[in-house]
Amino acid sequence: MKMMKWLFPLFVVVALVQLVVPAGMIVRRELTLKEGKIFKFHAQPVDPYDAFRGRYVTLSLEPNSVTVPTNSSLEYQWREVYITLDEGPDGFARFTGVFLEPQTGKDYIKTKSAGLNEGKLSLRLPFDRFYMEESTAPKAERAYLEHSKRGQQDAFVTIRVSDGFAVLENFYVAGKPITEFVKE
Amino acid sequence: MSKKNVNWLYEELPGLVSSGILSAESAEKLLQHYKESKNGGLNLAIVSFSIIGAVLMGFGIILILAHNWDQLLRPVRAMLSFAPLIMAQVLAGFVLLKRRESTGWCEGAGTFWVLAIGASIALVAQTYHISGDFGVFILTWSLMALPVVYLLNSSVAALLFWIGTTVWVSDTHGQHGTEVWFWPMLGLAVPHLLWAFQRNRYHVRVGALNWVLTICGAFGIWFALGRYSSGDWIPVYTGYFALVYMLGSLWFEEGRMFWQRSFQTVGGLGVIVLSIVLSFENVWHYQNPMELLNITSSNWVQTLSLLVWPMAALGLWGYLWRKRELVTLLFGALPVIAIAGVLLSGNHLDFMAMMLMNVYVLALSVALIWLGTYNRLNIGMLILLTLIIVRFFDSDLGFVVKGLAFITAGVGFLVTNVMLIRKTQGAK
Repeated sequence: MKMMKWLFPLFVVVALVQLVVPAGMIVRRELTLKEGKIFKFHAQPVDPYDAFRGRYVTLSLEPNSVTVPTNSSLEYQWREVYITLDEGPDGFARFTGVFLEPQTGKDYIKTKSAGLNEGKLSLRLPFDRFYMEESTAPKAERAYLEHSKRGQQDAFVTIRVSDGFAVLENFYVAGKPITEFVKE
Repeated sequence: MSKKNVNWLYEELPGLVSSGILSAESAEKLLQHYKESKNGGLNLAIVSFSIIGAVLMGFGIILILAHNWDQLLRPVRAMLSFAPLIMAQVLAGFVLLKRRESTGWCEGAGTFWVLAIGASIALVAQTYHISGDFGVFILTWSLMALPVVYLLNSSVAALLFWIGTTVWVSDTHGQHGTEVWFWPMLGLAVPHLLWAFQRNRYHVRVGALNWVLTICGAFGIWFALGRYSSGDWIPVYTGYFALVYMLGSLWFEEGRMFWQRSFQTVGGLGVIVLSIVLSFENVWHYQNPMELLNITSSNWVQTLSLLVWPMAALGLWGYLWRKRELVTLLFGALPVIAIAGVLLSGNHLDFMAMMLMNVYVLALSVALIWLGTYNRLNIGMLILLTLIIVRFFDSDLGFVVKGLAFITAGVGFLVTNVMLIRKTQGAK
């Protein structure tokens, strides 16, 4: 019984900390979705299977690389980088610069970089999947394929950005959220 | 002790007491001691069933959540992601207050709790389309699960923690330097093993923990190796497996079942497989010992493991030397032979390195056959047979060389046999 004196309070602390982790993940994303600035990215979906988290549509976003300054370019490879972005004339996001430190006062995304090729730094953007209900993910892919003839690629995702943190908000095909599109 | 033997003891005790060989008090103590082991089988079944039940329920919840209910709005799904975790916590709280003495309850609730943690994080990731950074997911999950090991004394939680840590390092070892955290991480659950060890080192719990720990350790070493030079695995792995074997013979020598001798089993298997692999000449072709010592800022983890494992093994080998237990010393000698082989091979004497390793395997198998109990005899025969088969088909050697080597070895065995027969006849 002596041990219970500290064991049970310890259990309560552990239980609370364990709840704080998912709660923190949720709160930060909800705040970004509520207050973050919205950006549109072109998308190309495919559909693999992840037994752990159900079905999702794999995303490959455009743009996914950024032009690096010509001097000292190699140091940007394979590490965490900060990418500034703005909205182009077509209404879609475009990357304007790559930095090694956070860029306060600008819209930027913290992400991981990959290799450098002809002055372009490839990025591993943290939006590689869009989760859907088991039965609708394959439908989403088929619907997308039918509606994405050459030159008519109208699938895009919206991403909310706030203080370098970015959250994927929704996935649109032909101007409609994918979940609504597949119901039609 | 087997059930049959315990029953026999139960029948014998009253007679021993009445004939004055054993005092009533001692007989009572013996009864109490073996009562536990008599019920051992049933207890093990209860604990196993509660673990299996918890695993099935945990997986079931994960699968239901993985369906990803589109109809539910995001805030509802966000709230729902807490459900498995809270359920597991309530169960754990109940076990902690009311059932802490029951291994079945503790292990079952612990297993369910660990799985529920993963389910909750995965559900949040699914709701917010968080990208598939598997390493971060596994690391978060493992660290959140660690307290379960100690709160509920759950060995299954410890096993899952070690497996999670190993999966994490397999995912993250590309980022140089992070792999060194594998060892402190692994160490975080070791006090639980020590606790179980102190209670009863031959308990099935300790056996299972040792199995997983030694195997996870072997994988962890792999991820700390092999991007810069080609020969580093030889001293590191021979050192690791020899060390594990020798620690086993130091701490678990009285173990009768293979799972009670996890260290000897894992370490011994590692030593046997490695020494057979190293008995091929072409394995030695590309070893460059000088390259191994070329320390840079990006390979220091590798250099560290290159020093730690062989040196620890050599240290323990020196310590065990005075015990003069030939089989243990032979198993423990592999890193010495392997390092000698690396040095020979570095001086373009690959053939000598190969010969040295063949002599070692031969000596190991003969020692096991000569000195061994029934099990060891079989293992020794198996090693010898493997060595003979791989050498017979070894294309690196010419037929004449192979033929002469086989004849020499055969004569050696026959002469030994004659000596053995004379010795036994002399003894009569």
